[in-house]
Amino acid sequence: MEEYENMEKKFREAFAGYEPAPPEQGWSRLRSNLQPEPRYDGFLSWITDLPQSSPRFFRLSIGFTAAAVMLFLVIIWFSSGNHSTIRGHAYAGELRLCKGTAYLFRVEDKALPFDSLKNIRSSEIDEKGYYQFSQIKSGKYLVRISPQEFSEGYKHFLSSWYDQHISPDSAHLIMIGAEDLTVDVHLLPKE
Amino acid sequence: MIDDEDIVKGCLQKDIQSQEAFYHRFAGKMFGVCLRFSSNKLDAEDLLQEGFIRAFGNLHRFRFEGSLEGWIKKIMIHTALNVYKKQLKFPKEVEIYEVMEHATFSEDALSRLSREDLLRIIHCLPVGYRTVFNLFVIEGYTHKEIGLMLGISENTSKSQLFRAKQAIQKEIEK
Repeated sequence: MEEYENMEKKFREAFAGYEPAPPEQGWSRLRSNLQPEPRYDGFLSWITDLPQSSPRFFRLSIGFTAAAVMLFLVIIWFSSGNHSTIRGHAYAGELRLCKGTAYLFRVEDKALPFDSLKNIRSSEIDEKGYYQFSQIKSGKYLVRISPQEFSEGYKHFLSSWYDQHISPDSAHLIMIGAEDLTVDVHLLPKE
Repeated sequence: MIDDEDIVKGCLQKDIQSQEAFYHRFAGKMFGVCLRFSSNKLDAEDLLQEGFIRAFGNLHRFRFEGSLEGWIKKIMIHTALNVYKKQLKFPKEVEIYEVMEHATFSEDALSRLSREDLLRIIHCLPVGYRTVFNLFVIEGYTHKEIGLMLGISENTSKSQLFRAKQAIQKEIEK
């Protein structure tokens, strides 16, 4: 058995501290296994991949929220800048109409008579005869006032187009740009 | 030079530079271990990868109670055993006397062999022989420990070692 002991000794000595050159691509291969390429989860992946307890995640969250709020305010500012308000009072004779509805029509035809009128908004008239249409885009509009059925105004006045016209063809066209307009409507008497 | 403790701390924080330093510090020696336990270089490279991945995954368990090199070597060996477990088929009962035969071969032939020759001989061994030979002769485990590691009896470990030596003897005499 001495031969085998020599054999063992030979192997033991040969491989004591054996340190061959590691594989050339070993580290790059291992690195890709340890830290795989980040997958693309959309534009939020750069923030959602962070540990949620990290200060960086916290700072990014605050920054992102602030940016979103700023963007929202800018949108509001721009949108309000390009829109106008049409407001006014409805009159039944000398008095203001207490109950009724104001209708706003957008005129899309270029010439009279209007082939199409598009009712885009309605507004309840309050007890002081006041109505308002806000956030109106620039363009051509008509306003029509209808007294509420069976009200005092309904008994004596007709639904009328601005300003005191029975039909839209003869109604006064309201041109609106970036400015607000006051449009008082006088109802036509039934007699 | 960064010490082991700093490297381990960096690795635990997933610091890529620490991981690279860890790899380069032990890759050579561990590749040597992998080459001995596998049958070719490509398998050894795969084994090295697998072992390092396991090492990084278990690094939080390292308590600095022994050497880091010893710890990672154990990981590599267990990785190898795990990888080759399916191929390791040992006879259930082997009496040691069955394999006690005369061992005679040229001392001269043995002395002429280089490390590369010895490695080639190891690669030619059946996986069971190779594993037991590596564990007993080079790593210094006892037959009892090998039995526990491989789920075999001490006698089976002894007979596998004897057969491994016989196979090596035949290769040397070729």
